[in-house]
Amino acid sequence: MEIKPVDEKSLTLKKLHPSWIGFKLFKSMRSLILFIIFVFMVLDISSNSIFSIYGFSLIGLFIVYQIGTTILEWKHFTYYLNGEELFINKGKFVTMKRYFPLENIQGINQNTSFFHRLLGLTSLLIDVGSSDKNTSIKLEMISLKEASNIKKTLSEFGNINVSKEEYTEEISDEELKGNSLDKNIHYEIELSEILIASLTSLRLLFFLTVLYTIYSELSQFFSIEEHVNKILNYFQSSVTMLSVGIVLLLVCSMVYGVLKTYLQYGGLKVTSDPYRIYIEKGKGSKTNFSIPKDKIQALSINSGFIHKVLNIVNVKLISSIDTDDQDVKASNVLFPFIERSKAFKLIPEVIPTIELSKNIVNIPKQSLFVKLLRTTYAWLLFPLVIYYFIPGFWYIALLIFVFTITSQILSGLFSGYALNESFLQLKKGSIATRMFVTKRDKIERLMMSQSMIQRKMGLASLKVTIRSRPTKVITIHDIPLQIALQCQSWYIEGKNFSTELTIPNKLQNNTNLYH
Amino acid sequence: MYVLKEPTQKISPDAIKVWRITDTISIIIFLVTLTFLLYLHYSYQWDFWIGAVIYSLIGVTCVSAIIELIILPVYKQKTWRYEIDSNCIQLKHGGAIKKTHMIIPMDKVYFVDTYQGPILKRYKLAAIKIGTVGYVHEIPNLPEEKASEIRNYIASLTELYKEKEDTNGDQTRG
Repeated sequence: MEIKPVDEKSLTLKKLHPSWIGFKLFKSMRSLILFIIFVFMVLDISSNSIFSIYGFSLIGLFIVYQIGTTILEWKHFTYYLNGEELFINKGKFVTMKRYFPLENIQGINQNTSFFHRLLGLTSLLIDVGSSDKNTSIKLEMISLKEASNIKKTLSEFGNINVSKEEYTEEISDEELKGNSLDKNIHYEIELSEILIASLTSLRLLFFLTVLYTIYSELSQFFSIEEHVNKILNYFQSSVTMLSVGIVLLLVCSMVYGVLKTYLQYGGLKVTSDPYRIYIEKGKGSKTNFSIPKDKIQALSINSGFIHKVLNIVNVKLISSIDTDDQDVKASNVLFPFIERSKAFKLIPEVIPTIELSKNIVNIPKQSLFVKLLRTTYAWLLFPLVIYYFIPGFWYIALLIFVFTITSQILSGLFSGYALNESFLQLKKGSIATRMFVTKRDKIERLMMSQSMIQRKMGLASLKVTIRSRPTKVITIHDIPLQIALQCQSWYIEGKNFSTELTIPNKLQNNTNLYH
Repeated sequence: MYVLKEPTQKISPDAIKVWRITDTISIIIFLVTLTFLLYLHYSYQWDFWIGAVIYSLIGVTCVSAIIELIILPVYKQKTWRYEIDSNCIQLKHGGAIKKTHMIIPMDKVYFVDTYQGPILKRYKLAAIKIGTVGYVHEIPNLPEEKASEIRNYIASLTELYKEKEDTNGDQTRG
């Protein structure tokens, strides 16, 4: 990045809200508490007075260091934005100044967590489109007004398309409602969808684990074991009480499931303009996420076991956005739970460049044999080893055996593929189903492999690499060899290189060397 | 219309020697490490099972070394094929046991390098490394001149694609 000797004092440098220090400290203290627990438990420091002095001073030093660096970080972080560029100055001990030309800025994502909302703040993640690793700048803890100002400036001078509605909604919600014509609303989540999806997912298990973690964490500090045992005894006193207890637990877990899903996906809204898709979601913490359509590399349409029966699918975007930010990474869900037919109708609407085919051809039945042979180690050797060495765990061995056999059989029955003009659709079915759709131009490389048994059966495996972070590889095993070969020629021959690119004579002559 | 060609280009026959030498070196290093562990096992009287594991590892290494040094290099050299044209790079290797066929379109190539270690240098060979998103592919053991020729060829092609992409990008932007 280019560094200009600009007279900084002449410009109004802006800072993040002071509460950022608290926010950051809160975040780092969370990990510190875990560290302290680790030290106490593993090293058993409390029993040894010499160690405890060292331990406590170490922890004290760490806290002082954290506070010091956080304050420094806040003090040094300044930014300004004018019609030409975004300037960032940041660092702890060594500061770094960077200028980002506005025309290079690729996009903005907004995230308003519950904590932000308490203070009337928000955070913006600006994708500065630089070529090195830090492609995004996070402005955490800025006021809503400042955020909308930034959005406004960026859409006026930059290359990104923030609709008027988006940067004015915080200032005047009602006045400009009519101006949102340039954005199409595709999908708004309904309460019934949230209810059905959360009640049929396996949240009960999650609830019990959450309950157990809370219990085990608390029991380290307080003696609640006694009370818990009392409650357990009370419920175990009679059959009626036991059933009441179980029902109570079920209701609690359902409420937990619905609440969690509602907070996460409530108010989900998918809109788009010609260049970008905008996803807005969340009740507790709100996220505004946008992604350029040309960065979408593939779609994955997933369905769990129960959802498969109910025809509910989950649609995820696989994109090539370079980011390490957790908030952005977590927002690649386009439709969390949607009826299959509705998804098939909406996807081409939201992403016009993607076509979905419903005619998925299943892989041949003889693939079952190959699949079972390939996974021999998982359903035969592994359980045998467990049974031989730890006979007490015979039920785990049995479980692994049954599970792998069923999943392989289901995979043989439900995997499939579809190849049309410029799209490849691969369906990997077993207990849960995943289907990938990708365009020819987005495939980075294609690998075909064939083992000895596969060759005898006339089958082959296909590996498709897609650009994403980390790189996504989709593998489909045991498709007919004919189809694999067809895929290869489809991949390269359809590309139409010659019309797009003129190769100089010099090089063309060179090609003869290798033919 | 462009038709995908079956890869026909072979790697140098000297590859067999190179692979034999490098494999011998790594096997020797592995065996030395194991012997050292064995020495530690006896001098510190570790558990019985550790010794058993070390002995079986040595046994397996010795048996696999015979296959690895005598048969495998010949098999690998005989089955390695590649094909490079203005559209794509094809790498194909393996035969009876497992066959792999990779296709990388030229516009997805990010960088291309030639690589030469001391052993490769002795036989006047070089390897080509082709970088794509997330992976680096190798065409091993090519004659030096051929390797640099191919590298220049791929590099000039990828340069062309890059230019094209840049101008396209500017058009949409403007």
